[in-house]
Amino acid sequence: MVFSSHLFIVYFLPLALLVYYATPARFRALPLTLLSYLFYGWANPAFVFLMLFSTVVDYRMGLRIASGQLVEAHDAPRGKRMQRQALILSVVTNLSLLGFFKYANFGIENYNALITAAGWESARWDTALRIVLPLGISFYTFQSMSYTIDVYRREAAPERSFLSFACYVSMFPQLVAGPIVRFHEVAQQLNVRTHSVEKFARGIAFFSLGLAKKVLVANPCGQVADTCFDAGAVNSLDAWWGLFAYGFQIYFDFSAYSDMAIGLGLMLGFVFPKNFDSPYRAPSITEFWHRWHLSLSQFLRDYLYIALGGNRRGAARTYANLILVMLIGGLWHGASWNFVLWGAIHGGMLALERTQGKESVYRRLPHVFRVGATFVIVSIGWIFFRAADLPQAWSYLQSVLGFGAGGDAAALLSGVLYQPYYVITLAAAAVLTWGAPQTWDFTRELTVPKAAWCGVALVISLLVLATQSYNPFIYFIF
Amino acid sequence: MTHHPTHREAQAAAEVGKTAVRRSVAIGMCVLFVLLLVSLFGWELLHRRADGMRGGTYLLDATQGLVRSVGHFPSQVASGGLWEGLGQSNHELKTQLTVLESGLKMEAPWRLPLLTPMNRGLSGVLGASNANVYMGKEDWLFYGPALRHVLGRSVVTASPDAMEVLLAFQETLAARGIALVIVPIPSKVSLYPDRLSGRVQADVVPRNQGYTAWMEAYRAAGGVAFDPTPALMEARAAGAAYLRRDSHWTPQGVDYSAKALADLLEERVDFSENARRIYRHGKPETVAYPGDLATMLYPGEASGTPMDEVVIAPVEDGDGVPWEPERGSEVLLLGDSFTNIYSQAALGWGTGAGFAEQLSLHLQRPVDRIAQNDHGAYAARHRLQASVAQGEDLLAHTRVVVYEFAVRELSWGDWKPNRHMVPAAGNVAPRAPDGAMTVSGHVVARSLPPAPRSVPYKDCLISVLLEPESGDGEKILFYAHGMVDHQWTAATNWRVGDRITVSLTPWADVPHDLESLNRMDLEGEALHDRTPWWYPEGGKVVTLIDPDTPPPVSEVMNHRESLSALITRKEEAGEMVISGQAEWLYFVPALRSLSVGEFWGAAAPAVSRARNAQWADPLPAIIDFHQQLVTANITLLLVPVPTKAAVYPEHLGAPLAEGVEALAGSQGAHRRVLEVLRESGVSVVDLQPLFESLPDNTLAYCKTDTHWSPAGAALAAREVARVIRELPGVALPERERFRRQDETLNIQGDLAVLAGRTEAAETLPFGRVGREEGGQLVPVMPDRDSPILLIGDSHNLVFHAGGDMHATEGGLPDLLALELGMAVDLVAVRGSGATTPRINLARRGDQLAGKNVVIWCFSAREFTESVTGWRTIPVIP
Repeated sequence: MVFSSHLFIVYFLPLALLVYYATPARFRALPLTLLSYLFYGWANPAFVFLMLFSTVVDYRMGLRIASGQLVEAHDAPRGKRMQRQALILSVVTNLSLLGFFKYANFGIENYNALITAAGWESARWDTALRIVLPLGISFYTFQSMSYTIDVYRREAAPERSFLSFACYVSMFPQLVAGPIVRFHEVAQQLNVRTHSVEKFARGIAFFSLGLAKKVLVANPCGQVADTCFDAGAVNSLDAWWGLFAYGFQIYFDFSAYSDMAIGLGLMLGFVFPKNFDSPYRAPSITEFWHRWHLSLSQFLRDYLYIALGGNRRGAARTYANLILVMLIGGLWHGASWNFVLWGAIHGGMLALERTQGKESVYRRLPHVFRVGATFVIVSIGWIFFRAADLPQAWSYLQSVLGFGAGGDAAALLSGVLYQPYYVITLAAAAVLTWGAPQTWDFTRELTVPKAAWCGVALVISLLVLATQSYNPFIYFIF
Repeated sequence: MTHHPTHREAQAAAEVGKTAVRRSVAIGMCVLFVLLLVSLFGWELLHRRADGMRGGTYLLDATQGLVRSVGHFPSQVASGGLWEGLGQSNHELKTQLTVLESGLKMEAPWRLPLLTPMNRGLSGVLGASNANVYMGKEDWLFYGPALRHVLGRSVVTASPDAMEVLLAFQETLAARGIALVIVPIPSKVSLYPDRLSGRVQADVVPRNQGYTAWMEAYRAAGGVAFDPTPALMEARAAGAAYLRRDSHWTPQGVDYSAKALADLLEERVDFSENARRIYRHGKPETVAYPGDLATMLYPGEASGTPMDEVVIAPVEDGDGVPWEPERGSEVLLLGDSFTNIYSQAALGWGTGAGFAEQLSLHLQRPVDRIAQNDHGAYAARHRLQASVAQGEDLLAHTRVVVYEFAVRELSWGDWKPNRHMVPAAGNVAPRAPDGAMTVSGHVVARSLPPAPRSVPYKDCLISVLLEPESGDGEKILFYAHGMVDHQWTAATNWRVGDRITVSLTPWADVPHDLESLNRMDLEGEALHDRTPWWYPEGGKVVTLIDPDTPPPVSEVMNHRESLSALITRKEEAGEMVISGQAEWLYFVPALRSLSVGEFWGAAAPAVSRARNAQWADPLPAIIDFHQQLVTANITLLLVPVPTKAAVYPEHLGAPLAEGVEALAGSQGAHRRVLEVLRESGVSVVDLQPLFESLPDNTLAYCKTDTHWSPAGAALAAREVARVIRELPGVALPERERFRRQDETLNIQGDLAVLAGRTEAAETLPFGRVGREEGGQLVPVMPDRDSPILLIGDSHNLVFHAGGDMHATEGGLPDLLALELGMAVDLVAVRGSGATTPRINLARRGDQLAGKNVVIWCFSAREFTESVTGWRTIPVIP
């Protein structure tokens, strides 16, 4: 189930709010958890058991770590051993689940390709096993795992209530596409949180603007991007047009989902972290990653980059760590060499900029050009993110660089791509990206005109949503 | 433990604290938001409750599915083990949830009313495309999948199975000495690129980038392909090759392509000389329609959408009989909607002028046709293969199979593998000897139609798998109307597990226009080789008025308008039967026929059910037939059977009865038309006064059936025989002696079946007629050489044809034989007796040689309710 769907808005959301607010405050974790499991199980009922398994393991390991911490006071080696074992079990379980469901097919394919290339056909692993990726597994395994790590690091107290912990792992507003809410960020809210009309009103504003960004901006941009990326041949101008359209699509799609998640969280009394901070206004790639998908980049920084040694082991190791973290970050997005290459581009750029003192190589240009150059680099990276496979990515890159196939069919594309609807939408996307306030800032002061604006955005979005069938959601598949 | 300075809840307080919002604004926002959610939710619930029949389809389906999938779990575990059982249950559950979600959106009450204005703004003004329609210049519309095929990835990589499947099909045919010619119809944008993009010239033909390579490879592998593009370019130069707001080609495009294809076939195929026929173009007809793309884009506003006009040239044979596909032809055309576009009335562009017709004309040879809208990659091919596997060898005389499909199928088509084409023991279901059966059983599976207006066609059939309560346990697969004119029929309301009783006829006997409708097949390869049946009742489910409850005040009627309003409400609710008092059942279309008032002349198009307004008026067809017979010195006796309600209005209940009685009296339209016909010289038998004169204990009609009773048929036979004997110049041969043996007959009428009232049965006095031979009664068979010919609808078959017609040897043909002392010739059909019997007569080709009298007996409701209408047919040219 996605937020920008008829089912969610007309049926699930009213039901969820009704049940939630009709339940006494101290028992609200129960309906919230059950509703979240319903939300999650909608796409594939069997996978609720997987999430439940991950939840049970991490809940038990959290308690085990806490016990180890108590034991440590009078038997340090045993206490530390208990904590380490529990942490390892939690991390291994979560990464195994992620590895199996997300990367097994990829691993088998690459193993077979290697074996075939080496001429050892007999050693191929021909299996009928085709594993279906559980929805949101990348998000909730990271989130659940962060709990045991935080408890191990003593950055969070263990959660004694299984229901509260299950509620944290499964909470529907941020379950399938983030933001990745780390346990220590939300621990207290699980048991005590405020509910007020101001908070609810701001939640409505977040949700309305998020829905509008998704339906009115991301979807039309997606149509342009799909047309270009799915085309057999595309000329250079159209390829750039499609590429920028995809850049806007993914930003407005994902940040819209985060806005809606934050808005729904506010309606339920939760405050989730900011996930986007105008990333396309960044003048460098380093800055870009301080603004894009913040909850993931912070997670990778705190649990991976720092664990690898961060910048404490010399320049060369720092560069290697940056590249490695981004490669893993790329793979986190999907089991494909495209994502690895995308991660490599960003890792390489981060390392390069680290050599320049965290500044871009074009730092001497005026700010507007630095922002433009960063946007172009990020956009080139999106080619690998969007393309179905490496040959398509390569072919599209050729088109962007002016070496595409062209032809009569390519010339036809203009009849589709430059309709007023798409030109206006892309122009609006550019204005919103570089000239409009962020949702957080816009909603900080809710005047009557702003409230009316949110209302109009909500109604128009609902009208368009009811009548248009094109409504993909990019991060749903991660 | 590390202390976090910015705790989330603290941040929340800070953030909210920083939110400068007046409490009244915040409360206002919350109230409006909650109101919006509640009103959307409430609207949907109320709508679904009000529209109980269609509105809850998905909701109920999914709910049942959820319960069923959980219920299946133990048996699935028992048969397949825990994991397989879990997997299957989960798969079922997932499917039901998906159906539910898409259904809820599709059936949202505000969706359809919003679609047109939203699309007018987004697409019409701003040029936004949706999944199905792309906007071009000067109001040209392009079909999404067809356009994306041209723009998209190479067909060589997109559909690697297509070539393999086609070559294997060719090989199978070649083994029987039959050639295969494929005809991929180019996308509209390939012929009209300049209408989409200013960057492309009109004389350029953009194609999918892999198309040329694909065709070269196909030809190199021995395949024969006909590319109609040059012919279509000529058509464009001469006028138009494609329709502006429709995804299909123009009549000119069809004609030019058929001509070029005919030339190729003449060159490549060794046809037999003696199979030549004369075909010619009939009278051109102008047809206007908004187009399938416009209809998809602006649903619900077809009347406000500009109409495109084309002139079609229907094809007829040398005798002027409209073209029909002919089994056993040397050419078999497999096709999709490009074949059907000017053949199938449901597509909106007229009939009789499609691809098969034009190909037949240019070849001057008969052509057989299997065409189904959509799914050109496999639908027609599989239907041919299934027919052959079922023992109906459609290829016995075929020399060439022409396989037409939209070229986009090479990108998006489901190139399902070929099926075996050898009849296998057990696969060949015997044809029902009487052509029909009535069966009760439980629905095992049922497909659903697509969302109305989400597809370029407005009618489609659904498949139902039924487990009969009796018999050998073999499940029965049948088709029913699932969507008619963009509306789901009530057959979609059948749910898995429902017990239903249906009257089915063999699928092989259905009219050609039904065969070519899109069908939503059930999943499961094993089902495809089953011999399907057809549920001819239009897919209507019946809800009955409680007979003991008087009609509500709102339904009381004293005049025609009120009756019309009631009928409209009943029909919209899918109710085809009205239950009267004392277990009398009435057929809603018959009541409608009474309610419409004058139905001939200028009034006809407005009140007739005929799909083609040109054939709405019954008088020209009847008078034309009468005149044809006069030229051959044959007398026509017209015997319209009055509606049951006209004779027995009193059982409808007091208020309703008064209204019907007034409409069915001597000043009623059904009686007045007889006078009009008499004034035109047609001999008419008015049965209504006779039926009304019967004593109360002798019923002229069955209570639970649409037809007359044996007593009614006997009275009609007696009257018709009397009239014939009094006709001047009609010499009947010497009387033969037949005997009538009285007995009783228990029936459950078609209205009871339609109403699902299995308990409703009746016992009728019945007389069996036959020749006395050795103390036994031997049935009187219809005699082709008889001077008396009886034609018409099922009133001529009831109690004569057995099966769903209840009995044999006691119908009108038998009773006429008894009265006249001679067997009569019979040409009768189930369904409308308006036109089809005359087409069948024309097909006999004997110009009614040896006939003195033709009795045309049909239900009077067909004056207005015949969807095929009243065509003039040259029976005696």
